[in-house]
Amino acid sequence: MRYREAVEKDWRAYFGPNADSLLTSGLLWSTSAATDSIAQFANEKIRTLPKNISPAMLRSVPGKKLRAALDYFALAKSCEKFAVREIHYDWDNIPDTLHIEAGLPEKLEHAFSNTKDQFLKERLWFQLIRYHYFCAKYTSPADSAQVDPAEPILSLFHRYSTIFPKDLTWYRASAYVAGFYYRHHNYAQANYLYSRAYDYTTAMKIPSVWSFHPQDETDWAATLALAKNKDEKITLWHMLGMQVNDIRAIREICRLDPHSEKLDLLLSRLINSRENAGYTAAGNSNENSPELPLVDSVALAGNTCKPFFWTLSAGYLHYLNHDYPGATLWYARAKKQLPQTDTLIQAQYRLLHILLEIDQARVLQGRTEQQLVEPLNWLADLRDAKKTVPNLRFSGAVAYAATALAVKYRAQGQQVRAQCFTDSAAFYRKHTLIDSMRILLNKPAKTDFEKAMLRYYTATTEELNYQQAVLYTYEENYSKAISWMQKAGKPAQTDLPANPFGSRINDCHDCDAAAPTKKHYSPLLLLETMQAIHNDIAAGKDVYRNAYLLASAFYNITHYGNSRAFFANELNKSDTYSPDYLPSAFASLFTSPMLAHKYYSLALRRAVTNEQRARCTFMLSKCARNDAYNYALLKDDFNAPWQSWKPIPEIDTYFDQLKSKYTLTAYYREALKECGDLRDYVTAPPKAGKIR
Amino acid sequence: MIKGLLMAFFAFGLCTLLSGCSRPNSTAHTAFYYWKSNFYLNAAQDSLLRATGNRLYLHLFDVAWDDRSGKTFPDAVVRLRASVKGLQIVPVIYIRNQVFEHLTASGTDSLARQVTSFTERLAQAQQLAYDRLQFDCDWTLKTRDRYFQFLLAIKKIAKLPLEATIRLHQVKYRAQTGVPPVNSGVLMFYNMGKISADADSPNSIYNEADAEKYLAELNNYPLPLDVALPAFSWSVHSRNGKVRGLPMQISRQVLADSRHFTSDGAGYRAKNSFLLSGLYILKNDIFKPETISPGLLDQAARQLAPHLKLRPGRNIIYYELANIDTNLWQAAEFQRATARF
Repeated sequence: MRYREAVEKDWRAYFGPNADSLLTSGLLWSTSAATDSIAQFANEKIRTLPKNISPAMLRSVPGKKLRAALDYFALAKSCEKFAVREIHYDWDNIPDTLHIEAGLPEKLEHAFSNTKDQFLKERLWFQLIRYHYFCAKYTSPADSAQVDPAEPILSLFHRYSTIFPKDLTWYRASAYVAGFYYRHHNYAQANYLYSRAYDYTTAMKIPSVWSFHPQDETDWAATLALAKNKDEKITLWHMLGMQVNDIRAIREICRLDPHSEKLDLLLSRLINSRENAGYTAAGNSNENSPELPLVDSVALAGNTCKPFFWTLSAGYLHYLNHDYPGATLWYARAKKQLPQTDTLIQAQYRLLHILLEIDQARVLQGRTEQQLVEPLNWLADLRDAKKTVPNLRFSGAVAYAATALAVKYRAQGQQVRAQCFTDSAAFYRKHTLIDSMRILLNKPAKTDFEKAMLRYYTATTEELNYQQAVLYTYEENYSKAISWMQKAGKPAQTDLPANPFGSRINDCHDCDAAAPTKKHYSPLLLLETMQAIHNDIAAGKDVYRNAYLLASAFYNITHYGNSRAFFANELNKSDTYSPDYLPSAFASLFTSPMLAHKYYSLALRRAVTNEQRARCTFMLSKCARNDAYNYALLKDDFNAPWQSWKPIPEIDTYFDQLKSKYTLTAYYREALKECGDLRDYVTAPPKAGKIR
Repeated sequence: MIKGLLMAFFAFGLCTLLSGCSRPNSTAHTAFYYWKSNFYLNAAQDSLLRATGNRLYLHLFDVAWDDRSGKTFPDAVVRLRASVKGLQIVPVIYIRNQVFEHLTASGTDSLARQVTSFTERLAQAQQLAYDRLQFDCDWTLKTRDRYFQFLLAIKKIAKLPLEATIRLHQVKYRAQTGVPPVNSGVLMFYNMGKISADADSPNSIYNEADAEKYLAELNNYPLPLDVALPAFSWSVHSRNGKVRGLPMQISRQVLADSRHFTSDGAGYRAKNSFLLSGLYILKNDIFKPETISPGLLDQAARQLAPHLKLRPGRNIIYYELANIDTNLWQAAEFQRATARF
C-alpha cells in the first residue's frame, strides 16, 4: 500500500496517455480472479468482464501491450500469495509456511528470459528477486554468515542492476537483497542498500530506517566505506543518528557538509529526546549533556542552512539545562536571525521565551505578574483558538507554563493562585480556601493579572457552593450545608438516583435506583429532610425511627451507599467506581461509616423490639465491613495483593449478637438468606485473617 | 562385609564433610528450555542436548492479547528449522498476563479449546509428538481465577497431564496466590532479586540470600515440583542511573575489553560511544555483569535440593539452550547440578 500511488503512476505512463485510468487501477488492485477474467476476455475465451471494467476501457491500451501486461499480472498475483500476506496470527491458521504454486518459478524464469519489453522485464526481475528472498528465508538456517556470491538472489541482482533504471522497482528489489544480506550477517551491504533506498523516495524512508541496524563498529566502518560520495556518507550518518540519537552523527555531518539539510532532522530529534528526559531534571553538567557544547559550536559557526534554527535550539537546550542566563543570551541572538516574515518561527520563539520568563522568575508578585499578563493571555488565546498560528504546537507549553506557575505559587504559600493554574482536588477540602476562591471569582474590580490568571481556572461559584455544602454535610452542620446548597444551581435540584433513606441487607445500587419510590430527593431536599430528622431526634421524637433514617442517609452518601451522586463532583474528583481511586484528601471522608455507625448505634439503643434490634445490629455489621474494605483498599498497598488483610473482629461481634439474641426474628431469617457471610459465620467457626 | 560397611560409612562421612556430593542414587533428569521462535541447533548445542538425555522443553507460542480487536491470538509461534527426531519434547505455552486481565470468565473455555486445537495442529504440521503440556503464566491475584479455570478447561479438553511454572513468590504466598490445578509444577529458581543499576546490589538472577527467603515454604507446597535453573548471564545496562536493558550479548569477556570499557566502583563504564553487538553504547553508560557460572549454578542446586520433597525422576530444566555459552558450559556441569536432586 505504501507504494500504491507510485506504482500506479508507472503503469499509467507505460500504458500511454490514452489508457483508461480505471482500467489501470482495476488491473493493479483487483483480485487475481478478476485479472484472470480480463485476460480471458482479451483472448476471446469468455464474453463477460468484471463489473467495473468495460470493453471500451480495454481498447484504450494497445492490444499487444495489454496482453503482455495481463500475462505479467497473472504471474505477479501468483507471487503475491506468498510475498504479500498480512501476517496476522489467529487461532485458525498455522503461520509460517511457504506455499508456492507448482511451476511458478519456472514460469517466472521463462517470462523473464523471453520478454523484450524492458518495463515488464524489470518487474519480472523484481518478482524473481523477491521469490528468491522468500525461498532463502524459509529454507536456509538463519545463522549462516557465509554467503555464496552465486546465490541466485545476488547474482540476479548484480547482473542486471546496472541495466535497469534506478526507479522504485529497482530500489524495492534492492531492499529484498538487503534483507537477504542482513539475514546472512552481511550488515555492511545490507545497511548500505537500505540507506540508498532511504534516499531514493519518501515512501521508502520508513521501512528503510526500520530495517537499518548496524551491529558493530567494524561493519559500520565497512558500510561507510561503501558510500560512493559525501552525500551517501551523510545519509548513513543521518540514519545512524536517527536510530541512536547520537550527537556523533551531527558532528560527522557537520564535518562533511554543515549545510546539509539532513542535520536539521537530527537536531529536532535531539531536542525531543532532551525534552522527554524531563523538564524538571536537575541541572546537568556538560559531561552528562554533551549535546550542549556541540549545538553551541554549530550555532556559533552559523554555517548551516538555517542558522536561526540552531541558535534558537541552543537557547532552548540551555533552558532545559536550567542555564537561564545562557538561554537568555542565545535567544537574544536568535531573535536577530529569525526570518521576520515567518510567523511560525516567530511564534515558536515567543513560546520558548515565555517558558524561560516563567522559569527564571524568582518571586511572582507585582511587576513579574504584570509582565506575565500578556504572555498568559497569548497562551490562553492559542489554547482557546482565539488566535491561530498554523502548525505551531503549543499545548505542551501551555500545560507546562500553568504547572510551573502553580508550583511557584504553592512554594510562595499562595494556594488560591496555585489552584488557578492547576486543578487539585485537595484544595476543595478546606472551607477557607473555597471561601478565598469565591471572593476572587466575585471580586468586582479584578487586576489585569487576575483576569489573565482566571482564564486558567474553570470552576464556577455555584460549583464552589455545592462543594462547600458537601463538606458541611459531613460535619453535620445542616444550616450551613443547606444555605450553600441553595446557591449551588441546578445540581442541587437534580434528583439523586435512589432513595437516600433506604436500607437493605445487601448493597445493590441498581436495585435501589430501579425500586419504585413515591418521593424523589434532590441534594437540597435530602439536606432539608436530614435537618428535620435531626431536629426531631434532638427533640426526642420517635428517636429509633429517626436515628435509623439518618443513619441510612449517612450510609448512602458514602462510597458504599446508593447516593454517591450526592458527593461526587468535578471539583473533588470523587466520581470513581473504586474507593482506591478517590483523591486521598477525600478518601476517608467519603468512605468512612462513622456517621452511619453513630446513628445506627443510637437507633439500636432506642429500639424497642427485637426485629428493630436485629436490623440495627446487621446494619452495624455492614458499617464494620466497610471499615474493613477501607483498611484493605486505602491503607494497604493494593498493588501487592498478597499483603495480609486486617482481620475484623467487630463483624464477628455483631454476627455473634445476631446469632445469640435474634435468631427468632424475621429479619434474621431474611438476612441469613441474603448474606452468605452471615451464613458462613453461623455454620463455620470464624477464621482469623480473612474478611468474610 | 565389614570392609564394605566401613567404606560406605567413610564415603558417607566424606560426603557430609564436603557437603558437595550429589544425592546418592539421584534419579533426576537433565533437560533444557528452548525459547527462540526459530528452532535450530548448532553443533555444540546439539551435542550438549544429546549428551544430557535429549529432553527439551520447547516454547511453542505465546498467548497474547490484541487490544484493537479485543481478542487473543497466538504470537511468537515456533518454527522448526531443524529436526526434533529423537528428542523428548514438552511443549511450553506462555500466557501473557494481559490475556486474563481482559478475558471474561466464559472466554477462558473457548480460549482453552483454541489453544488445544492450535497446539495439536502446530505439532502435526511440525511433526512433533508430546504427551503433556506446560503452561507458563505469571498470574496475579487479579488473573488467578481465570487462569486456573483455563487450566481446568485445558485438562478436560486435551486429556493430558499438565504442568505449570511456579514462581518463587507463588510458593511463599500460596495462601493468597493459590495453587494451579495441574499435575505438577516447575519451580523457577531464578530471577529472584531486584534488577538494579546499583553496583552493590546482588545478582538478580540468583543469589543465596534472596533465595533463602523462599526456601522455608517449599516443603509445604502441595504440587510435585520439577525445577528450572538458570544457565544464562546478562549485563544490567544503565544510563544516568536508569536501567535501560539486560543485554545477554554483553558478557563479562566483552566488558573486559579495555579499549571500550574501564572498570570502576560503579561497574564497567563505556569510555566512548560506539556500536557493539547491535547495541549503541554511549560514553559513560554503565554495565554490571550478572553471571551464572557453573560453580554458581551448582551452589543454587545445592541450596535448593534439600528443601524439596522427594520426587523420583525429577526434571531439572536449564534456561535456556539457545543462549547457553557452549564454550563455558559442558554436559558435565549440568549433570553435576542435576545429580544434586
